[in-house]
Amino acid sequence: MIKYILRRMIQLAAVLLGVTFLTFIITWAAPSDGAEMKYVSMGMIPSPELLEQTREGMGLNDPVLVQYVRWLGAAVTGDLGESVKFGDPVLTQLAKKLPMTLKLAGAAMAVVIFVSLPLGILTAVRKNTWADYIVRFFSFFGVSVPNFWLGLLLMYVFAVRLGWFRVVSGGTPGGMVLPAAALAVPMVSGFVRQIRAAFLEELSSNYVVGARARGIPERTIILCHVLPNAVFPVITLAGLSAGQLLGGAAIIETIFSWQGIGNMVVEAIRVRDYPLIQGYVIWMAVIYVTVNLLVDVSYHFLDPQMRLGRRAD
Amino acid sequence: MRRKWMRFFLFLFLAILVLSVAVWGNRLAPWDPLETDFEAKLMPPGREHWMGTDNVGRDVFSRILCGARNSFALTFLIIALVSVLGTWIGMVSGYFGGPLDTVLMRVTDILLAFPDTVFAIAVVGMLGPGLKNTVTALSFVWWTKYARMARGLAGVIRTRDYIVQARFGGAGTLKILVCYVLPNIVPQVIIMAALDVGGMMLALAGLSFLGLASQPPAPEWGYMLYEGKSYMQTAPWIMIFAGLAIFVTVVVFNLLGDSLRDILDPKE
Repeated sequence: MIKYILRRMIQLAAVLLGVTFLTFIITWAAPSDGAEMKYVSMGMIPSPELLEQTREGMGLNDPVLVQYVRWLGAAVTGDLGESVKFGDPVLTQLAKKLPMTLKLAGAAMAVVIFVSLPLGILTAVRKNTWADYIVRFFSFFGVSVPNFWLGLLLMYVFAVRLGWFRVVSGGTPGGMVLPAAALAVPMVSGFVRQIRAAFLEELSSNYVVGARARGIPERTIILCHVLPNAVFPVITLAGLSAGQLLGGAAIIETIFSWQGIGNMVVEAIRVRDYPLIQGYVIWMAVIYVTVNLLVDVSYHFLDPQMRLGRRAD
Repeated sequence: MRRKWMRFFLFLFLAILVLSVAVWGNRLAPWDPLETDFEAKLMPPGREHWMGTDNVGRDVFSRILCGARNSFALTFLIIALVSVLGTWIGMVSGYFGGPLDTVLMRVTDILLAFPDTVFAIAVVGMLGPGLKNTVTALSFVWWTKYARMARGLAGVIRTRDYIVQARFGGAGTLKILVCYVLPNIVPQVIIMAALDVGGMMLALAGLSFLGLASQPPAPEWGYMLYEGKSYMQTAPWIMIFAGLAIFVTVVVFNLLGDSLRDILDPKE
């Protein structure tokens, strides 16, 4: 178990090293560089000589790899540079905005789980009945609806027309309802489909037939026998959709002016704040990969077969 | 089985309908999508302007018709790019195996560590907003999927008897890849590509909604939504109809992709 986690941690470190390298290379390939941005942010247009001098001073004329190693060295100590727009160190800026995004993403995830689990079970148990058809019909449309459009529609109906919420969310729990809903609805659809499929597969397995033959009530079979087994695909899906959630948050946050990390990065892009964009990508990758590592590790705790080493990973 | 085909043709018909709007949208449009008319700005949907007008008096319906072309062209371009590129990279890697394969898989591991929207936003953000960079960013993110699938299939196919026999028959590596390996991968690629059209359209619209992808004043659905957002209080029809266009198109192509999978993929 510990060996497994250790091995995964080493893999994770390797992947993250690649992540930083790739991010660095993309920034390096960007059309304007740190020296130029420095002057632009001060509202100056530097002469070519001055620019060249600053580049030399900042080490931007060194070979890429040298620059990367220097940057990485600073990055491991938590120094990701300074945000051009906000003037803070990137890490401070990220730490300030991240909790808001996590709050929103967490709320959306909670909605997704609490809505899609009962619906998924319902559609599987009542397969090919009207309940199944209705839920599947709506979940199909849910997959296809652009979350930003949904966000705008929700905002229009509930904030502009009905006035139940304020247009600018302001970070209050009440203001979280609409953005969380806009994030959650498209995901619920995907979850319902997966949960339904997982349940159907379990329902057709021998232990269910056996349990039925022994006269165990259907409800007990579903809740005590099938649910614990069908929960694994849901956990995997939750881990994988963390990425979707973080990406979606970037768009939804700009609609609702939610002061999270996604809103911040869109601002950063407008002013070409490279260090901040860089820090954002790296942190998103770290979060995403870590969540998925936790998902994999949780299997080892939750699944007795895996704990005993019977099922290969 | 017959019902599956019927469904497929129905959705194919719908998809062709949507596509022809994209192709002939310019001619169908009752107004010039770029013509501004400040007399008629922010007009609600009515007889003259079916979907109203935007903040500079451009006809929303005409802009949606003409915008279809841009959205489709980009979507298909990127899908074509990533499916061909990804398939070839994956196939070669899976067929030969060895160090090349290992390196490639590590690269995809790294790329998969980025949530895709996040990565696309960041790449466009760093390279600078614009169409070319949007295509680059989305291709960068999406090819890994195809590469992984092609690699898996090629790894299995290369051990098949007919490949061994082809080699005995004197076929060169390139010929084996093109004539014997590729045809066995293509159906899966087509399914994947068909299922991806909707998702790609959403990804694209998302980027242009953030103002990162398209070049105004050329009409494009995601960007229309972005513009419409500012006029939500006074002219909600701009964002309602632009979003509806995206939504309907994505629904049609998702339905088509699903039914295509039902036909081609016996597993489901």
